[in-house]
Amino acid sequence: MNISDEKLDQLLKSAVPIPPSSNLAERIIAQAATSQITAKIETGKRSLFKQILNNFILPKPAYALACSMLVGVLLGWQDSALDVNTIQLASIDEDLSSLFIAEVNYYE
Amino acid sequence: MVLIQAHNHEAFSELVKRHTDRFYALAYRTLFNQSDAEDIVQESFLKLWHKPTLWQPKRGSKFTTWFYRLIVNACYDLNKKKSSQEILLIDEKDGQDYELISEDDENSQQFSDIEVALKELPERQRMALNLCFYEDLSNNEAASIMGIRLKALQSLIMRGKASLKAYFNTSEENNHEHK
Repeated sequence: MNISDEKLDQLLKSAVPIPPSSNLAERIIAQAATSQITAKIETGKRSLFKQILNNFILPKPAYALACSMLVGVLLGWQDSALDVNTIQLASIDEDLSSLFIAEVNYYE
Repeated sequence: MVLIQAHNHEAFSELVKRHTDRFYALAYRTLFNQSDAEDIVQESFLKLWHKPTLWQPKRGSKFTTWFYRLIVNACYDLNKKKSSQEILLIDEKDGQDYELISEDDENSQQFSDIEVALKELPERQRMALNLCFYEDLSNNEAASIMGIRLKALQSLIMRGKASLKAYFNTSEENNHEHK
C-alpha cells in the first residue's frame, strides 16, 4: 500500500509546532535593552580603566621582550669588548716599558 | 534595519515582534525541542542587536533570507554539539545509562507520527522540507539559505518525501499485521 502525495502533504500540514513561550519576543526585547544599558555602563567604566591601564600596558609584549633582550645582549657585548681593549692596552704598555728597560740596560 | 543599525531599540522591538514566531517555528521543526528553539531565536536576535552591521543589504540578500541562514546555521551547530556530547556520553557511560537518559528526555515531550517521521530524516533533508513546505519559500531562496545548488535542494526534497512515504508505508503495514 502506497501513500499518495496528497496524503503526505496533509500529514505534513498536520505537524504544528509547539508554540513558543508567550513572552519570547518580550524576553528578547528586554534582554536587548538590558545589554544596551550594561554596555553603556561598561563603556563608561572601561574608558576610565583603559586610560589608567594604558599607562602601564606594553603595546606588544613579545616585541618588548625581544627588544629588551637585544639591548641586554648589546650591553653585555659592549662591556666585554671594553674589557678586552683595556687588557690589550695594558699589555702593550708593559711590553714597551720592558723594552725601554732592556734598552737602558744595554747602554749601561 | 537602517534604524536598528543606528541602535534604535524601538525598531528592534518591532522586528522581533514581527518575526519571532516564524523563526521559532523553523528552529523548532529542526530541533524538535521548545527551549532549544527559543534559545536559538533569542541568541540570533541578540547577535543582530549587538552587531547590526552583520547584515549588509548591498550583498543582495533580503533580511529574512539572511536571518533564516543565521537560524539554520545555529541549528546545525547545536545539533553537531549535541551529537558530539552524545558520543562522549556513550563513551563514558558505556551506552546503557545514556539510553535511559535520552529516553527520559524524549518521553517528556509527546510527538505526533509525522513529527517522529520528520525527526528520523537526515538533517539536510528535513531542513529542505521545512524551508520549502512549511516556510513557503521558493526553491531558489531555500537553496540560497542552505548554501547549496538548486538541483541539490530538489534532490533533498525528493529524497525526504520518499523517506517519509517509506516510513508511513512501513508503519501502516505494521499496523495491519498487528490487527
